[in-house]
Amino acid sequence: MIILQNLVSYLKQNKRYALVLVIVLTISFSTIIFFVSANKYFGERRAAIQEEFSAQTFLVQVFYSEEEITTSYSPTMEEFQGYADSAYVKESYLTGTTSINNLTADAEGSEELNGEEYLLVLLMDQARIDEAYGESLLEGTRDLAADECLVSDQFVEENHLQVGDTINTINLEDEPVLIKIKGIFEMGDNQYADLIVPLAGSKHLYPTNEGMIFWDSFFILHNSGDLRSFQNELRDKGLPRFYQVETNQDFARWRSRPITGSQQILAMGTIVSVCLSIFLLFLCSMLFWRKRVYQMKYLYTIGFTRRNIIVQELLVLLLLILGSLVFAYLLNMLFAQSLSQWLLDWQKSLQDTQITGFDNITYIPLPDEGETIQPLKEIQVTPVVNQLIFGIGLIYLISLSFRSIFYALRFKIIDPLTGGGWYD
Amino acid sequence: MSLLKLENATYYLENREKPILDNLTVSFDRGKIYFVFSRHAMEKSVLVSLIGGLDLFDKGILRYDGKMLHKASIDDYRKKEVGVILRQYDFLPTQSPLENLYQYCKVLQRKITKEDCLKHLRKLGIGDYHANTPMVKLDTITQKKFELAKATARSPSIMIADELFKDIDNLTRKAFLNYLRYLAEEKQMAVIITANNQELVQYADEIWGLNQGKLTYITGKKLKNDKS
Repeated sequence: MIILQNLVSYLKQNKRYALVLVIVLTISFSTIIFFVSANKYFGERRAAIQEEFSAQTFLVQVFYSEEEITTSYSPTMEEFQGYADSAYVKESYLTGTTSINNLTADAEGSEELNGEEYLLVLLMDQARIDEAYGESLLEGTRDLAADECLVSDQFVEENHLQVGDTINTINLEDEPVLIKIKGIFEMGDNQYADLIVPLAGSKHLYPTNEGMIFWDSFFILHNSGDLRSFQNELRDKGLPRFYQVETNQDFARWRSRPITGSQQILAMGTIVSVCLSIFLLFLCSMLFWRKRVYQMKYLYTIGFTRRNIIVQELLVLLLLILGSLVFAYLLNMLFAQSLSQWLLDWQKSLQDTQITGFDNITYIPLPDEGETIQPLKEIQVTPVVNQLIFGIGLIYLISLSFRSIFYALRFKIIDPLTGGGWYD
Repeated sequence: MSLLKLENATYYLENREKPILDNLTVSFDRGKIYFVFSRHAMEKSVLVSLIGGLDLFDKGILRYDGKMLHKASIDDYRKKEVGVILRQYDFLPTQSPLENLYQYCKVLQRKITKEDCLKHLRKLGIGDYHANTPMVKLDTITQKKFELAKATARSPSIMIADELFKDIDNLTRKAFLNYLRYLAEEKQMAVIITANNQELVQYADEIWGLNQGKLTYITGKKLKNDKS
């Protein structure tokens, strides 16, 4: 009771000390709360991204030549089959790219198409065509025979063509080739070829020289642990072993780089904040020590016991810590969302710049606004937050009260030098 | 039976071989004013602190009302039975006399009001203005008045003061002495004052001398006769 009655007076007497403590503790707790809740939230988002990519099994490979690692290499069909036959490969596919010119058409008004310009042709297996053009098909069908193709709506519009027309061309071997238009697809932003031909069309386009087509080969392994074994098998078979491996984990890592960056900054900020707080609290304790010592002795003279003084010291600190916690939660409620948004945006812009600096690495677009990574919606007070706050709070309480308690237990009003008075 | 009794009480300051108070034996009774004279401020201050219950003697016994005071009972004694005026730790400098006194009284008397405290301060000549002015801004005499008011506010049975009359004018000194006489005779307190000004002896009921840690009894009457 005596302690409670004196609390207001004690706080009034030590208002500067209390104010500095509350400010330092609030900043410290705010950082910790923000770090833990944001970290947890970012962690969840990262896990979601990883889960999203884990559905794509394991890896995509693009091969390079053995001699020149920076130059793309088109494997032969035999080589491709050698890779594809591996037991570690779950799925494999080829994508071919070539170009044709001297186009003409049977349709009226379309006798000559594109003049002397080359037209980019993409060769894909039926499954890839279904996957890539299933939704964008505007007209016709996407089931293609070797001499059939899909054309873009832009190409059709420019050349007044329609489904059922035949395109005549002379390939690079100066042989005439006929391709029938089976369907029209809508040209998307990421698509660059106007003509889509099935893999079987390669023989139709270049009956004697398939080397005119540049092949990209892709393999998806069953799981990440197979990579080493797969590499050994390639070596044993004598197949080219230089290739770029892009696992689903890489995709996930690329996409979650802003999150990782944010988490690193948060972790660093929290460590700095806690260390700085401990230093400031220590400094604060030192600065106000004389006044507090006087007050402790005064309280003792007016009837407080040493135990009363210790309990009061602890109670005051506890109140200040709790008050700071409340302020910290309020601050987080007000600013956590905008701060996490800012942090994420900053990291996104930073990672974006870094990614475009690499020439030989496939650019994985970062998630758009409001796509996968959302800013922190609210402060998530979880058991982890509570445990951490409790732990840090306890450390602060012990470190702040230790000196006072130690002093309160052993101080003497009778000064050994002056006897409580002055020198004679 | 004496109200307060020291029996062979000895106290050592830290790191000193010779005791600062050596084998003191003395009794203090209700209704009397005791003066303890000494040229050494340190001895006087230590004696006041020990009688005031702020520490325990290293050797010997301190009895209050016949009961020996020890570690467990000294806190209660300090809180309830004695009013002490020290040379430091008497008030919180940034608080006013009223706030200081209120806080002091609240420790023991929960139902006390600020008005009660103000009345008590007025008795000692501290007006409302000074009562609400921070202690650091007050002059020495007003601070002394406050210290006296504070020491007597909880109606203790013993009032002990260290150098109460130092640095105050004659008029205030006289007023203080009259008040101390009132406390001794009307309130039946044992009033113990340490001093080094021997002009005060005429106001004492008993006079003691403290020198080199030894306490010697000198009758007041004898000193008065000598002086006259």
